[in-house]
Amino acid sequence: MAGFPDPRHAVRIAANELRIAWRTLRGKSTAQLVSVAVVVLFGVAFTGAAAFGAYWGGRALATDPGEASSLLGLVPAGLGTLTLFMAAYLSVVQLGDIDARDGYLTTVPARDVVGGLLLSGYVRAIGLFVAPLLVASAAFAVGAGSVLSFPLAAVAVVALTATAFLVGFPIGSAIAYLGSRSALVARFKTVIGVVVFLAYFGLIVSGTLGAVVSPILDVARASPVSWYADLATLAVVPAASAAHAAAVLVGSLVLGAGGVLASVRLSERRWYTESVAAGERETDSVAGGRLDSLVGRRRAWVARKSWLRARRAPIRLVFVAYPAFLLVTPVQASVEAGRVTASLPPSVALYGAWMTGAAFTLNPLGDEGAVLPVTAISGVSGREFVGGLVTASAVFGAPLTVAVAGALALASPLPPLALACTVAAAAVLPVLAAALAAGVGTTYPKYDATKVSRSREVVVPSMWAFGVYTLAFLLTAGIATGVQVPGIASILADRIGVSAAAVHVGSLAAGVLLVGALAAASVRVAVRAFDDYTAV
Amino acid sequence: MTDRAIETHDLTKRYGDETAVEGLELAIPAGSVYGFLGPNGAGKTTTMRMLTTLTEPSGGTATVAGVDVTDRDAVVADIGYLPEEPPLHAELTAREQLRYMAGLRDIPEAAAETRIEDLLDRFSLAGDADKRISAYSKGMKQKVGIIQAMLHDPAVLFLDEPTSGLDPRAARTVRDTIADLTAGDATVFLSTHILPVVDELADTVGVLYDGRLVTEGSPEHLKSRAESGDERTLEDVFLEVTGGIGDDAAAEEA
Repeated sequence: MAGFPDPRHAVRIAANELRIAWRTLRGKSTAQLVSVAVVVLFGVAFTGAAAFGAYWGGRALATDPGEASSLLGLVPAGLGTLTLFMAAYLSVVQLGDIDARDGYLTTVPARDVVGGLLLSGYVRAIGLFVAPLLVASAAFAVGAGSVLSFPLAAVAVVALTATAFLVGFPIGSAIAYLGSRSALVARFKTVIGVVVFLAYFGLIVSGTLGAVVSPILDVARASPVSWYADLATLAVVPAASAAHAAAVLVGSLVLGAGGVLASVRLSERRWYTESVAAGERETDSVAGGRLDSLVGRRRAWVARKSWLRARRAPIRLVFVAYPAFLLVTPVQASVEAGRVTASLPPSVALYGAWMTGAAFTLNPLGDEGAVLPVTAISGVSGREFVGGLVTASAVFGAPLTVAVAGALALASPLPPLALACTVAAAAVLPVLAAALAAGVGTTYPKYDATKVSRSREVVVPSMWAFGVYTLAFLLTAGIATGVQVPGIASILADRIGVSAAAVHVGSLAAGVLLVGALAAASVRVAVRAFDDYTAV
Repeated sequence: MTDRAIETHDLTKRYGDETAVEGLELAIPAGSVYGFLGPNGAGKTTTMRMLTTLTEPSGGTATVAGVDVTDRDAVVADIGYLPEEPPLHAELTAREQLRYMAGLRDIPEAAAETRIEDLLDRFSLAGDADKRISAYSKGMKQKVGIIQAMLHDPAVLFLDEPTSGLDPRAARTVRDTIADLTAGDATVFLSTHILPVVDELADTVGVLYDGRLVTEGSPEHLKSRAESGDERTLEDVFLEVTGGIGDDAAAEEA
């Protein structure tokens, strides 16, 4: 059919994409495979839970169709909304483009490539939860005592998710295209990403995500999307409408075909139109300054180089945001209480210090990339190199941590001594964290780039470095901050028979000493690793 | 196919305020090798991308194998393209990659197998064809890219620096292969900085400078026009026409 992908080419491209994805997965390191195994375990758990729910849902429908069917529309509304948003998002960041694109576009029509991407994208992304839902469809049929319910529910699941995917995919392609055409978006891409992330994070921690999603679900539930439930329960619920079931099948075909055509059009626009480049600011330069006199010229150059690289490619640092989810509980508690709770400032001090250490020093050798041999023979000593990286982290991280944790502490019910200890921890721990990270990072370096989007690869710290650093830091620095929460301090004071003030000061001192000892040893390891590299 | 494999009139490409290619006029006969020269940033790759339909021209017209470049589907069926970075999947073996592309080109399986084995053998890759491309050297990847571009016997073959990264023996194979191709009806549009390759193979040489075609002719004709020295080479011509324009521009600016 004119305008549609050639199915043979589309299937061949999709099969190749899946083969590449599988080989990439198999080629991952043991640590990465462990994380994949954890995801698989979650998938198994999800499958079990979905099957359990579907079985009891089927039984309830068979027993009392009237009451249970009142909730039925919610299932397709939720599934359709989730699929659509996932498809749009993944289309922007990964699924909407293909490796070796020039090779494809000079071999087959672009629409065939889009067809391949749609097929492989559906299997790779949506298949992750469609497969468990097909198992759940079988459980539903067993629960309902109706064999026919299995194919009906399975068809409903596939039709709904495929339609939502085919609607979401071109939406993502349109967003990506518009983004690539705007100089403003190109320049502030990272800022926009951070704002969106913070907004999402804010919705989660404030417990308002449900309030935002709820109206969307209500609209979907009131729309013909809920008719997919009629299709799935046609053999069980007497009130299920055969006309609705037929209508959603026809609607799926029409919307799906429209989605394919829109995906082809928008992908062609995206691929054949030149992107707008972000303009460089004149202030983006590695010029000398006061830092030279404070830490020495070579350390200052190493630090400024780290900042400049981070400013030009901020995506390199995106991994430092991951543990921010640990702040969900204290932030949520503060939102619910309507004030800053006592646990939030120490938590922020701890996270801020961790983030400072992770930012520039968790992969000192790998971060240098192809420049490492040149850096190593440039005359910069290990002390200067590591010192420069620690400076890069501490100069931006320590003031930031002190400012945020300090402001929160002032607004919190922390007693003056705990407040002072929290601020002191926020000032000292970032520097020690950076030093600690340097040694861990050189012991477990990572030189290979990791794909963070379809077209972007960056070198991020190894999972071992990430894990060892996080564990070592939390177990030591956590003493300095965790015990500043008055409730914990008083319990500890009662247990060991000292004053709460002694616990506050003592835990700060103990935590700082422990992390300080590790940091000192770690810096020596890092300096030696760099100097040894020079010697080689 | 017409007797002109590639024809452009006033072909122009602008990126915002910058002009990458301006008013390009080409008329390349079928079955010839066209050597496309120019300093870095002259607009050679942009020209190739326009002719292979990967980039839309800002103005002018172009036909490849008698088909307007705006008709992408028809053009891609007739061309082979080796960009500067060979478009390969590192996770596949060379044999898998070539079989895959043969499938997308709708080459019958048996014919594809024969062709692939023949070309692998010719480029001394048969022994390594079942290793992953990720383990290949730059030269080996380049060889796979070249084979991939010519797998379907295209009417017009666009090669961007085809001998880049190749050892002398492999470079010789590429040159022989190009000569064999053009012994038939195929046309080769060859962009390279390695002037002896152009000197040996090209029927016509065009030099692009600052987006404009500043000279064109057979290698012998161009060398006879060179003003410097008794031993006239293509390099003399290249330096003269590109450096000369630069001097003129500088003089105008002054």
